[in-house]
Amino acid sequence: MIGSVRNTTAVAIAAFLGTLPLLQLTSDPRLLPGAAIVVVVLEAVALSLRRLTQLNWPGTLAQMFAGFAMVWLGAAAAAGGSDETRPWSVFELTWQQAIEQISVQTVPMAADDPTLVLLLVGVGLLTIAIDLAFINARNVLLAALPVLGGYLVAMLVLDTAVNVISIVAVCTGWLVLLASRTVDHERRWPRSLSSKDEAKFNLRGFAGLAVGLGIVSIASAVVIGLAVPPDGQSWLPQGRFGRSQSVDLIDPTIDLNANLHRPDERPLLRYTTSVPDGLRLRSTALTVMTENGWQLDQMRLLPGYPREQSVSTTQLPVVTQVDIGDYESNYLPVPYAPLNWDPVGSWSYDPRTLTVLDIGSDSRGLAGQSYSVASLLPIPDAEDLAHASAGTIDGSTIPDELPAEIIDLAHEITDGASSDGEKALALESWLTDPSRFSYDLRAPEGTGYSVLTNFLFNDRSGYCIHFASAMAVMAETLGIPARVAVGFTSGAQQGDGSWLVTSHDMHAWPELYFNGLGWVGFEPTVSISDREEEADPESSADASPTDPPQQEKQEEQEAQEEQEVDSTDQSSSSSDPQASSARSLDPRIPLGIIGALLVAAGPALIRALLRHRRLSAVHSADRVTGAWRELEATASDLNLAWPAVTPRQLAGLPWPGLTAEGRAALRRIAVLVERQRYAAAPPTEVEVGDDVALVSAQLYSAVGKPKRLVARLAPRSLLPGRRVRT
Amino acid sequence: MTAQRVFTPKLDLRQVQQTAQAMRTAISSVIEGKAEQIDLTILVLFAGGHLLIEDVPGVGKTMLAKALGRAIDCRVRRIQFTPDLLPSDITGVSVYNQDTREFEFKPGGVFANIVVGDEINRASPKTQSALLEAMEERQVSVDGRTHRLPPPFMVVATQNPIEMEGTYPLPEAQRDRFMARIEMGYPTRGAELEMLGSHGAANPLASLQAVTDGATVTRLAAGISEVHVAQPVKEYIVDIMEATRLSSDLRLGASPRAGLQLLRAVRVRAAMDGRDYVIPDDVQALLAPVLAHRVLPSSAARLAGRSGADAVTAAAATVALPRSA
Repeated sequence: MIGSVRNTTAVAIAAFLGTLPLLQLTSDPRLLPGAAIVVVVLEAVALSLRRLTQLNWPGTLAQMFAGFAMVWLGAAAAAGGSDETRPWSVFELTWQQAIEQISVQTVPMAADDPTLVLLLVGVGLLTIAIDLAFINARNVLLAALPVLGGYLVAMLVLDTAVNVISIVAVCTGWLVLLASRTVDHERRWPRSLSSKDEAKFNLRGFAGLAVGLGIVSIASAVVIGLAVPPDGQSWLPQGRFGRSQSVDLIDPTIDLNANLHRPDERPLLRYTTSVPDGLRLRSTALTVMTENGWQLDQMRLLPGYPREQSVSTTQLPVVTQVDIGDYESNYLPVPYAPLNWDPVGSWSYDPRTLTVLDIGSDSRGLAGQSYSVASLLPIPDAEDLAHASAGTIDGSTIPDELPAEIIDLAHEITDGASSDGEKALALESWLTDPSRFSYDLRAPEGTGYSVLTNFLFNDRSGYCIHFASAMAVMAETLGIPARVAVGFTSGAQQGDGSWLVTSHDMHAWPELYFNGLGWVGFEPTVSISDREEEADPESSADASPTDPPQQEKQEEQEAQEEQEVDSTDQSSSSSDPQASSARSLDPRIPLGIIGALLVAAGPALIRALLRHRRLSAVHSADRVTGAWRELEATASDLNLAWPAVTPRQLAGLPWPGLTAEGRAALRRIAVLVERQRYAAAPPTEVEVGDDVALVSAQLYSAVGKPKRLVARLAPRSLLPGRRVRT
Repeated sequence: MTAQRVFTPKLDLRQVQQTAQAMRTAISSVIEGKAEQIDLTILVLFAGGHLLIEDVPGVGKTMLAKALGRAIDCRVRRIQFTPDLLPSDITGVSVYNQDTREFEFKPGGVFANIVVGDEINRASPKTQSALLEAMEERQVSVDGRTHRLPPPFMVVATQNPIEMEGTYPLPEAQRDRFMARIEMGYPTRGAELEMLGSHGAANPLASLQAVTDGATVTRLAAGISEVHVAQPVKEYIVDIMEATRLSSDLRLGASPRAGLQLLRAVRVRAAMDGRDYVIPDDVQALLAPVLAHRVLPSSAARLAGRSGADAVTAAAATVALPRSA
C-alpha cells in the first residue's frame, strides 16, 4: 500500500484538476504548465521516498522540502535582478511584490512573475494537503477539501460564477481519488475468492459502479445547477424577481435624446461629494452591439448589494449624497462602481453592469428621493492604462455584418500602439481631435450601421452617444471588450460646494475592459468639457474648433478625470469603504498561520524525527534497541500498557489489532532485543524497519480515528512522565 | 571406548535440540500430556543434575523415570527403596574371593548411568544418605577404596508426599542435592482416556527404542557450559537468591548451591531453545522447579496456603528485570 503508484498518480491527477479553477484568476499562460510541474515533482518525490523507506511520512516531509526548494528557486527567479539569495529575504521580496500586484489588479490578473509564484505556492500546498489526506490519513473524504480548495478560492475571488469546466474538473479529480481508494478496498477485502478472474471482474465492476454513481450524482448536480437560475430567479412565473428577465426596460438612450434636445435646461438632481472635480453619475450600461446601435441586454437582478471585496490601491472609496429633483427613472444614478445605496423602495442590481434598478409594481419611483451611495472610484494612472492588456468577457462579440471599413479604420488608427491600453488611448484621441470631429446634436444620417459609417467617414459630427458607440465598436473589433455607459456628466459646482446636474448634462461614454483594471471609462466625445456647447445645439457646431490648444488641455484634464472616475466590475462593496481599504492582505497573517501550523505540528514532527533516529542508527545493536524503544513509544502514544516484563513476554501479550503476521514481526524484534541484550555476540546486519512499521500500523489500526489523531498530533511518549528514551 | 572418547566441549546447539526433541518424542509416547515434566527431565539430564519426582502414587512417576532410561542407550539401574534396604545395597560390598584370596568389590545399584530410585523416602535415613553421597560426589567409597561413577550419572528419585504413611521425609540438606523437583499431577481427561487405550494392550515401555546414548549426552552436556550468561542475567539470578532470603514468606531462602544449579539449568534451557545465550525468561521459567524444594515456607505462609513455589515466584517478582547488557 505504501508507495502505491496508483494512489500517487490519483493524487497528482486530482491535485492538477483541482487547480484548474485558478486559471480563471489570471491571464498568465504559464500557470497550467507550472502547476503540472509542481504537482509532478511533489508526487514523484513523495513516491520515491515512500518506496525507499516504506513509511508514509518521509514522503510528506520530502514534499515539504521539495516545495520549499521550488519556492526558493521560483522566488529567486521572480526576484530577478536582486542579489538576495537567502531564502527568507527572497520569499519576503516575492511576497511583497505579489501582494502589491494583486492589490492593484482585479481578476483576471495580468501575467506577472511574483503572482505566478504565489499561485504555484498555493498549488503546491493544495497538492501536499491532498497527498496528506489521501495517502497518510487514508481518508478520501478529507481529501475532497483540498481538491475543492482551488475552486473555493476562485469562487470567493470571482464575482461571477465559476465556470462549469472548473466544477467538472474538481469533481473528476475527486472521482479519481475515490476510484483509486475503491480499488484498494476491493483488493483488501475481495468479495469473491472463488477464482482469480472472477475477483478481477468484481474488482473492476465494483470500482466502476462506485465511480459511475459518483459521475451520475455530480452530473445531475451540475445539470440541475445550470438549469435552475441562481438566487431564486426561476424561469417559473412566480417569485419576486420572476418578471425581471422579460421586463421591458426603458431604453435610456431615448431619455438621453429627449433631454439633450430639450430647449430648456431643467435641473434634475444635486449631489455632494468629496471628489474635488465632481464625478459622473451613471444610470446603466448598454452591452450589446446590434444593427440599431448599442442596446440594453437582459439583466439578472439580485436583491441586496454586491459582495464585499478587498480594495485595490487603484481604487478610491467615496460616499456621495444625491438629492433627486423632478426626474423620474427606473435607474438609480450612482457613481461607478456602487457598493451600496439607500433610496426608499425595493432597489436591486445587475451584477454584470452594476446597474441599480427599481422595476417592481410597487415602485416608489426616483423623483424626490434623497440617498447616499458608497462607491469605489478607480484611480489608475495613465501608465497603468498604457500597459494594460484586454480582458475577456463572455458574450462580447461584434455582429458579423459590421461593415469592414470600420474594422479597417480601427486597425489603421491603432497602428503603432503596442498594448491594448495604448490602442484604446489612440482611439480616444483620434475621436476627440476637434480638427476631425465636431459636436452636433443632430444625429448622423442613415439607419442601422450606416449611422455609424456616416458618423465616422462622412458627417464626422454627432453627439455623445455616437462618439461613445464608435469607440466601443472599434474597441470590440480590436478584441477589447466594450460597452456604452449612460448617465450624467459631473454638472456644475454650486456656491455651497454641491453639484447641480441638469437635463443637458445627460451623457454617454464607452467603458473598456482590461486585465487587472476592470471596466475603464473613456471620453471620446469632442469638447464635452464645455457644458454650454452640449446644451446648446445651435452653438455646438462652431464652438468646438474655436480654441484647439485650450481644447487639448481640457481633453487631457478630462482624460485624467475619467480615469479617476471609472472603475471595475469586480470592485467590491462595504458598508464602510474607508475601513475596507485597510483590509488588504498583511503578509504576516499567512506567515503567522504557517507558523502556527508548524507549532501545532511540532510534537508530531519531533516524534517523527525520534522515530527516524531510532530506526536508522548506524550500529545494528542501536537499531535493535531503537526499534524496541520505538515500539514502546508507539504503545505509549496509543495509551497501551508496556509492562516491565521480558521482551518475549511482551511479544506474547494480547496486543490489540495484531494479526498473526504482526505478532510474528513483534516476536522477531523481541528475539533480536534478547540477542542484543544477553548474547555474547550481538546481532549484526539486522533490518527492523519493516517489522516496526508493520506492528505500529496494526497497533494504530486497532484504535478509533480520534485516538489515532491524538496519538499522531500529541504523542504521549513525549510527555515527561512517560518519556521513552531515544 | 565410547565413554572415554575424547570429546571437544563445543556447543552444538542443533544437536542439543535434535537430541532433546527425539527424547521428548520418545518419552511422550509413554507419558501422555506431560510435556512440561518431560522437558524438565531432559533438561536436568543435560545439566548433569538429579531429579526428584514427587506426587501421589500412580500418576506415572516411575514410568517417567523408566522411560528416560529407555530412551538413552546406557546403563539403567532401578533401586526400589524399602525400610530394610541397606546402604551397601546401594554402594556395593567387598566380598572375599576364595579363588584369588582377595576381597573383590561388588558394585551396588548406584553403579549405572541412570539410577531410578523408587520411593526414596521409604528407606531409612542411613540408606538415603548413602545414595545422596554418591549423588554429590559422583563416586563411592567402600573399605577405603574409591570407585568413580561413569558419566553421565543421573539419579531420578521418586517420592510420595511426606504426609503419607511409612515414610522418612528427606531432610532439607538432602533435598538441596536434587537440581529440580517436579510434580506429575493428574493427567488431563483426554490424556487419561488415551492412556487407558494404549496401556490396556501392552506395556508401551517395551516398544520404546533408545534415541541417543550416554556418550552423546555427556558430550552435549559438556558443550552446554559454553552458553553465554550475560552479566545482567547473573546479577538477576543473584538478586533473586537474595530476594528469597529476605522474603517474609520463607523461613529458609535459597542457598548459593541453589544459585549454581539454577545457572546450570538455565544454560540447558537456552540451549534446548536453540540459543547460545540465557535470557531472563529462562530464569523465570526454572525458578519454581529448581528453588521451590529447597526453601522452607514460614508458618504464616503455610497457614495462608502459599507454597514454596508461590513464595519464590513472589520474591522474584520484586526483582527488577535486567534492561540491557
